[in-house]
Amino acid sequence: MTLYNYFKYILTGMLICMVASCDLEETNVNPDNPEEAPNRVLLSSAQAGFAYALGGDMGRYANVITQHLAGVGRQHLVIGRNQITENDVNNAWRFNLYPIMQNLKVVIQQAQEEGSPHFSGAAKVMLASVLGVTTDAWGDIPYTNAFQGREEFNPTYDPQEVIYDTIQALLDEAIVELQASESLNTLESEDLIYGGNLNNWIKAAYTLKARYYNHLSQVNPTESAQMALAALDSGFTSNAENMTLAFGGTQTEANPYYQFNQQRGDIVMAEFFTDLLIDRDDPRLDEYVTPLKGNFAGATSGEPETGSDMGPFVASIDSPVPFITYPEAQFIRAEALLRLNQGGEAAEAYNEAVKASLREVTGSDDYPDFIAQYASASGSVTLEQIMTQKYITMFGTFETWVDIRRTGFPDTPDPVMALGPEPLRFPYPQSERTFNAANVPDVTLTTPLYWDR
Amino acid sequence: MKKILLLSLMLALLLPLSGYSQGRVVTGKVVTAADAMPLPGVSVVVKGTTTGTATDADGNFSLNVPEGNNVLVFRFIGYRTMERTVGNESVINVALQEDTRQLEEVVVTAIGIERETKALGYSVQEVGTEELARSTQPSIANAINGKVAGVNITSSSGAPGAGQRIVIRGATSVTGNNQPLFVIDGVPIDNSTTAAGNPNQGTNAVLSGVANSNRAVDINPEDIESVTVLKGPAATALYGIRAGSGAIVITTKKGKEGRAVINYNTSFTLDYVNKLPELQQRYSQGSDGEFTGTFSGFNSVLSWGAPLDQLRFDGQPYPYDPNGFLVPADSSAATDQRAIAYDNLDNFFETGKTWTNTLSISGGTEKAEYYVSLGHTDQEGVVPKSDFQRTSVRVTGSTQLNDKFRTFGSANYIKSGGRRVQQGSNISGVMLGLLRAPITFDLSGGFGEEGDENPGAYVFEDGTQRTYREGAGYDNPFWTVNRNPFEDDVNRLIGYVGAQYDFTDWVNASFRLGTDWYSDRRTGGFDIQSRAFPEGQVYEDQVFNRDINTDLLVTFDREVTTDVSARLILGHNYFNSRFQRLYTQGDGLAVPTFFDLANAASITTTENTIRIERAAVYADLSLDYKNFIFLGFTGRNEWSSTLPTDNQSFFYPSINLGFVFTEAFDLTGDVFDFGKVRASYAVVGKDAPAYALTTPFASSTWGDGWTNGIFFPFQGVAGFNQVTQLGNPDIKPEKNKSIEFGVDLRFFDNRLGLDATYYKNNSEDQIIPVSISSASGFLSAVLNSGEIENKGIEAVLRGTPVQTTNFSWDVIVNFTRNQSEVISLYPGVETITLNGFTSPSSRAIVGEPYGVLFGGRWARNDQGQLLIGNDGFPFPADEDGVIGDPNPDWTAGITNTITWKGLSLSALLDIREGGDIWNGTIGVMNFFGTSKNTENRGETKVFEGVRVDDGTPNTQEVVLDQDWYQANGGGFGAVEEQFVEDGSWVRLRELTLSYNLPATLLEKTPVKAASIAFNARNLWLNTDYSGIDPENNLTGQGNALGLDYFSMPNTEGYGLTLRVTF
Repeated sequence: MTLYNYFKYILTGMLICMVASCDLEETNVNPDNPEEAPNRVLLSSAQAGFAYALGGDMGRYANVITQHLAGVGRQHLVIGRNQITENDVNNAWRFNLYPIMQNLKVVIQQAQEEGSPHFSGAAKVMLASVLGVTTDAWGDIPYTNAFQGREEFNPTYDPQEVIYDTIQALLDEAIVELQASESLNTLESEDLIYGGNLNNWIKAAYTLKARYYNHLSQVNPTESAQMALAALDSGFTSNAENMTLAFGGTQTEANPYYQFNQQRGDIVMAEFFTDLLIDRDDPRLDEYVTPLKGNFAGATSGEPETGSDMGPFVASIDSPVPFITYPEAQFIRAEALLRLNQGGEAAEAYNEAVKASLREVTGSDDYPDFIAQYASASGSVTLEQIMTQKYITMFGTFETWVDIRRTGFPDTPDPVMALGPEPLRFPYPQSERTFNAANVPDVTLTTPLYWDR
Repeated sequence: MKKILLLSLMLALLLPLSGYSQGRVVTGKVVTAADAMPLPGVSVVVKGTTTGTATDADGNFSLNVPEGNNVLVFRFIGYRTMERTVGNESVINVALQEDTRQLEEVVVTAIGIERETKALGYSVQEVGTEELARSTQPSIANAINGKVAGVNITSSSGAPGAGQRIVIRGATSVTGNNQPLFVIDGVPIDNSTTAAGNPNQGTNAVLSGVANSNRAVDINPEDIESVTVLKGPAATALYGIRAGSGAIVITTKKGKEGRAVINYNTSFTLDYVNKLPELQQRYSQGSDGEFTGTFSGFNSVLSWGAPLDQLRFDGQPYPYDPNGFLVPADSSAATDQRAIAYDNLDNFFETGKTWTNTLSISGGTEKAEYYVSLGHTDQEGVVPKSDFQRTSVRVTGSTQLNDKFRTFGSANYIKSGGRRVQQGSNISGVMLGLLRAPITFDLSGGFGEEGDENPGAYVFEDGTQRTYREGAGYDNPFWTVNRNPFEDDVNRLIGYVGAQYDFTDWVNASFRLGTDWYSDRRTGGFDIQSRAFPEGQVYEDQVFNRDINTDLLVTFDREVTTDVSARLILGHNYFNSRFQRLYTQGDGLAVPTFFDLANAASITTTENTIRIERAAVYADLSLDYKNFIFLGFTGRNEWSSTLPTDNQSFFYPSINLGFVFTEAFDLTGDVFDFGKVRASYAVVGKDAPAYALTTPFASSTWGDGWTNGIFFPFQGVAGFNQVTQLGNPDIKPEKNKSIEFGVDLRFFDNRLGLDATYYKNNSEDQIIPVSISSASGFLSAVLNSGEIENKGIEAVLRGTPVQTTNFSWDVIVNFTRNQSEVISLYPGVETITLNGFTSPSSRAIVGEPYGVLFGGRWARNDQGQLLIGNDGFPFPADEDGVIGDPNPDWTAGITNTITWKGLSLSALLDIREGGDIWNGTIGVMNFFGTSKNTENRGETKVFEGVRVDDGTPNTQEVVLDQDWYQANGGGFGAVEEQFVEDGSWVRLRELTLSYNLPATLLEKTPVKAASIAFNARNLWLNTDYSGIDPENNLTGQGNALGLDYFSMPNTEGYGLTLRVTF
């Protein structure tokens, strides 16, 4: 600072501020945080944030419970013994899912104000899928009354049934908006999922509709199947359309499973899932499991023992995290058709689902022996077959825990030293119990969700 | 300085200027006992006569003494009067002891205003040079620890440069800054802490990372003449917002009229770790009673293996131990060599060394005075490779330009910083790596205490890390100290210039411009193969802070009537602060051990700027009636940039009254010397943090609480999100209302004194970022709500049980008791987390003391009895709750000083009663099986409690085994309650034995005075706390308290100090 400036400061201080009319307001503007941000940077953030949550706590906890993974150390060991605490789930709810939804709400509002339906549509697809994961973990959750800022510090909880209606309504609106012919701003390269491909967004919206209809398989078996199939007609047609988010090759862009294994390492492959792959000589084994001293070996769930690490398909530094994929769509189709007693078509969908998964994971479906045994159903197929193959396909996802709770397949063994029965939901997070106590529903880990009957 | 001028004046009036008596001439020299500085102006009188003189500028005197058996009386304000029998001697040299009990003591109050303690209606306490000198620690905050009532100082750890949490009369702000303002010669300086690590981590950064300094560490204690602590709002009202939590007012050494005095002092201290948690010595690495070695995944980090006495080495090549792998004694592979319990702790910690040197030159003429000092401190920590250096150059001077105009100024350049070590909840934290290590694993790789110097201890030839879990787990501490460096480099300039002009003898004006600039450049990283950042990380963190402060004062001081005098000060203050931080992190290193951003694959940068500007006008009126009623009023109107335009201006007043009843009612007698009662009421405002009015956007990062997460820009795309704190455009200032009563009583010729204060403090309209349900869209909202009450008692008891010519025994007792209660927060908000882990944390909870520990508890029935499950074990309660109160019930510092001729022995006994600490370290060591108490593995126990099913007393025996400790009996279980321990202590904080060389010995040398002292610190500690020294705090200077999670240990030290004056 020059001497002149220095004196200017003193003069400002002494003379101008003497009567306190100096411009103190200007000083209180934060130069580092903009007061406004365009939708394209808000959407990219929400996309990556949700992917991180799915491959982070949400997917990891779910996969320990479903025995894809075994928690062998510290908190994850306890989770693997069926005791998941309000602290374990706090981070995902408080620092990921709800802030992500808040930012999507901002995108939707800004898009409506400026006339950018494409942004509004994409944000609603994201919002519907965040809502879906959140409600499938906790059941009743705040929504209608939420995201009001100062207007409501204690949002009430909507019944899960209402959340399911909301998901469908958001996706319907999204489909219309994404088809709008005019949009002031539209998605471009900052769209980390589809790079601005609106058709893929629309297909993703339809496929998500199918997923959330299909979740109601026990509430309304027939209608849920019919609605899901109707939606799937406009859904994904190949792996190229999969809704996934790619992670990068550097530490600050690294896949969440990769980061966890590198930095914490309290999970390994579970014995149940690993044996399932080994027993079937599954071509995906090498991609799903990293050999331990030359052997594929999972740890017994509940036991603090060593085991194989996760494989490169799900846990490389740049492994993508899926939101929803074509193989899942085919499994939904198979399951829905089976519920409608259309066994033959169900079998076809099942075969295509398995092959699509093989292509997605290994790059090929040229495994004649495996195909012959596990992807050549004809005439019909059992729910157990569908759900077991879906269980293998959905490794690493949160969604696989929904399937296991909904259908009971595959039947995983009790973990050793279990501290309770298998949880049917996450406990409400400690922050909600602390900051929104009056509204938090009274449930236990074994209170089933609305669709779980 | 003023003291001396004042006194010279008095002496000139009181003393007969010449003596006519016949007799002989006695000469001598009077010096200070503390640092052997010559004392000019000391009255030397022959007892019982009016014959006397005063010492000259060099402290020399010459006096005609009548024949006979005479006694000389040496008197000087601020020092103890001393009597010496003349006898046949013709040379009498004396060293006067500083008198801390003086009635007419002058102290520095707010804005550098000097006042007689007698006139004050509020409590202040001074710590003098001599008391400060007894601490040889580099930081001023350590030097006053235990010496001031009402002040609680907690070192974050014994790491070099580690900061201190200083709280005066309890925390008054829920989430704001509760640290006192540091003021040097009337100019406020910055004492903030910038937590190391990625700023995006927010307050979590202090749970891991390195021990941070608070910036008061830059002050060289040797430059300090005295420290005055202004405790309550009445005392600090004139400083306004920044001193809302009290003020530590430092007066530096100045030059004195006379010839140049050169002072040199050097001290050398050896530091040792004073307390560590105990490790079990019986079981090996492994799980389920079997030794597993380092290849067994998670089991490698456990110490639940076979008993050592059942294991033998197999003598086969095993890269982790030259003796081979461990096998059961009855195995065919077994050799005769028994398993070894390695002493990793002993191998790791070293003897710390601190070497301090200060050289100063001071002097002056009638017109000008100067003080120049050069100080250097070089500290090596008890953790290998950790160090801290400080170099300080200080110049202070003043000039009397004419009899009305005086200018003064000071500049202090400091370069400080060092190499700090990863600690806390941190995969690289050295305590974490050390205390979780199985005893059968030699972290030093056979190099023992030389492990830090031999890469073979921590790295294999192929570059992979050598530690007890292959490929994962925690960093070998020897790796961390070598391969995960952190260095900070602070360059700082603190200075002021000022002028005073006397218009008449009762009106003067003064102006002071102070500035405090520093840059703090931190560099470091994690090498490739580090467990937290296997691909390597490098960071470069640049902090720049600039404060400017001006004060303009106009003082009117005159007698209004013969009985009433009045002093009015009108002032203006301007403060401007700018803090900038640029943090750049590079991830993915290409070349090992090369910590440069150019070596990184991806770079992320975070900027952080905080600007605050304030202006204020203030007035201070003091009335003095007959020198026994003192009435003071202050008022300050402040404008702050952090408040919304409508609420920007706010006013707060104070009133204080001092009544010297001994003079009013003429009670002074043989027993009672002095008695005063005082009362005050004050309001102090606190403004909002910067930028609390709006809700802007920020560049995104996402994580999951377990991992480092991802940062934007991501894949080349920018990403922003709305900040999670909802701003408040209607915020108004916080108000802290305080009432204080006190007495000051002196007895027995001033040999016994009691100064006691009761206070009650209510801070209202707290500006709190209240945590709210994230379903609202935000994690917190800035609100104006809530109240904290602090009330307490402070007492200072001073006594001189024995005082003879050559011998004296002095006692000072400082007693502190503060009780806080969070009265309210925000309607519907019962708790606010100050800092900590998801569980436990230190919180503000309505109805509880500030900062209570909150976490998982055992399930209990309504009678508070433990509920026992059907398996015979207690189990966690459904809901977390309050598990401890980290605030001490009371603290006391007792200083005993015994002086015999030139020899002085002083001991500071420091007592803390109560104050819970969550020993998270032990909890986690239980899980891993390394803690001493896990030696009871396999033993049975009947938990005292009632059966949950039928309410009958539990009689079921259960086995305490690995399963128990790895579930609810360990630190990763849900019950933190069981690891909360009482942090009470009694410690001998300081012991000093000093010897002043007699003047006769030095007469023929150029040395005017010399002293040598032996200092010991923390040489005795008595506590039930099972972890490290309970004086530790993971969260450092922040508001949270009582969290110990692999914190760095504290130290004890032994040193020698030599002081020489030329």
